[in-house]
Amino acid sequence: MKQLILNGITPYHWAWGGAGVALVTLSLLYLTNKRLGVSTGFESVCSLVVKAPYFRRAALLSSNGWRLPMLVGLVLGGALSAVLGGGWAPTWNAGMLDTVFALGPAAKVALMFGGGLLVGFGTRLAGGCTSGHGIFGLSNFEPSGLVSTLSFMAAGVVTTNIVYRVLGAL
Amino acid sequence: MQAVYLLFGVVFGWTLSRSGAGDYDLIQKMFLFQDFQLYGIIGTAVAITAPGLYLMKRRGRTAGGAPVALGEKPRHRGNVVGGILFGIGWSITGMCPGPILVNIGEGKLYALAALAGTLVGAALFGTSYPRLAPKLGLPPLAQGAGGGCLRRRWAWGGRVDWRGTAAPVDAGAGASAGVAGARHRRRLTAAPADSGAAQRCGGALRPRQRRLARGAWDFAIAPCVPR
Repeated sequence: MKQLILNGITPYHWAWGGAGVALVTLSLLYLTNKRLGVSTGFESVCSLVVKAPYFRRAALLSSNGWRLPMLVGLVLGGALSAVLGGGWAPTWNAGMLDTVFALGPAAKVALMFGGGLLVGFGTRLAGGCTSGHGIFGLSNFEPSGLVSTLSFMAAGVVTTNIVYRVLGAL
Repeated sequence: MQAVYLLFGVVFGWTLSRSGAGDYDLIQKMFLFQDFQLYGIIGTAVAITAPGLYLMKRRGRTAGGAPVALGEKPRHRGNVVGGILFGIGWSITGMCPGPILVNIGEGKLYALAALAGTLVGAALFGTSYPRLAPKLGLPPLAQGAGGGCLRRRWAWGGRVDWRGTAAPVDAGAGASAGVAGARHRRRLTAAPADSGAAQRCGGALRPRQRRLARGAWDFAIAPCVPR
């Protein structure tokens, strides 16, 4: 039986998970005329503090009003899932990462910060992430969505296989 | 209205959390081809969203009666380069952008470090955009690498009315905003001041597309850099 790191919860069947994601994507467009995307929201956060011309674009600033609340909602959704699913508690538990590499908190912070740099820079350079390019882009038959999705899936497969099948086997 | 988007975030966050889309182990097992969960989630989501989008384009209007603003993200070399960088980051952190926030909510302390890295990465990208744009063929700065490109490829029942969500074509603003690369500036200044004029995106339209583009449809498209 599959178990999440979060309180050992049994995850939904993937079909229900996918249906939920589709419901959010379609209702966001149908009800509010917004195209689902999370990573542009990181630019919205940047626009609050960074004054470079890129973060002063009208197209970005005009979307802050819905992107920022949605980012906050994502955090709350995760918290709610923990609170109603066995209780919320701060944790360093990272599953396989701990069992294979046994990193301390400092090393984990450094690793996650470095990986985060790539996520932030990469998603913005690609013009979207798993939601905007992957879910929405593929559903909308966009060439850029297909190219980006293939690129990040391939890079993920290569990286994880190096990390767990090569480095982890040492 | 902001509460509505907050609610969307909560529902989306809950779904990602409970389906395992933000679970470090399930992400690694997806990339190791050991578990079908994430492929199933993404596949099902696309399988349901695609026909949903089709129907919505056919209808052409949202629930509130507004024209469906449905553009395509622009195609450029950043899709591959950025995609690869993101894929490496996704594998290292075990989190893509949505789940970074969800994991913070769940209480995963290391996700805070991932978020800090992500914001710094996005800030670095934004500040280096003028230098990166000419090298990677990115759209003008006013548009960004992922936004504002509308292009019609198919007629969905002929009732479609897509309008530009992109910033209006403004040669002066684009140039003064520091768009790098003579190519971009040329394109911007070459664009007619009237943004309602048909601006094609991604180069010339194929004959069938041109045929579809003629007629009653209203093009309001910000210029994209051709492939």
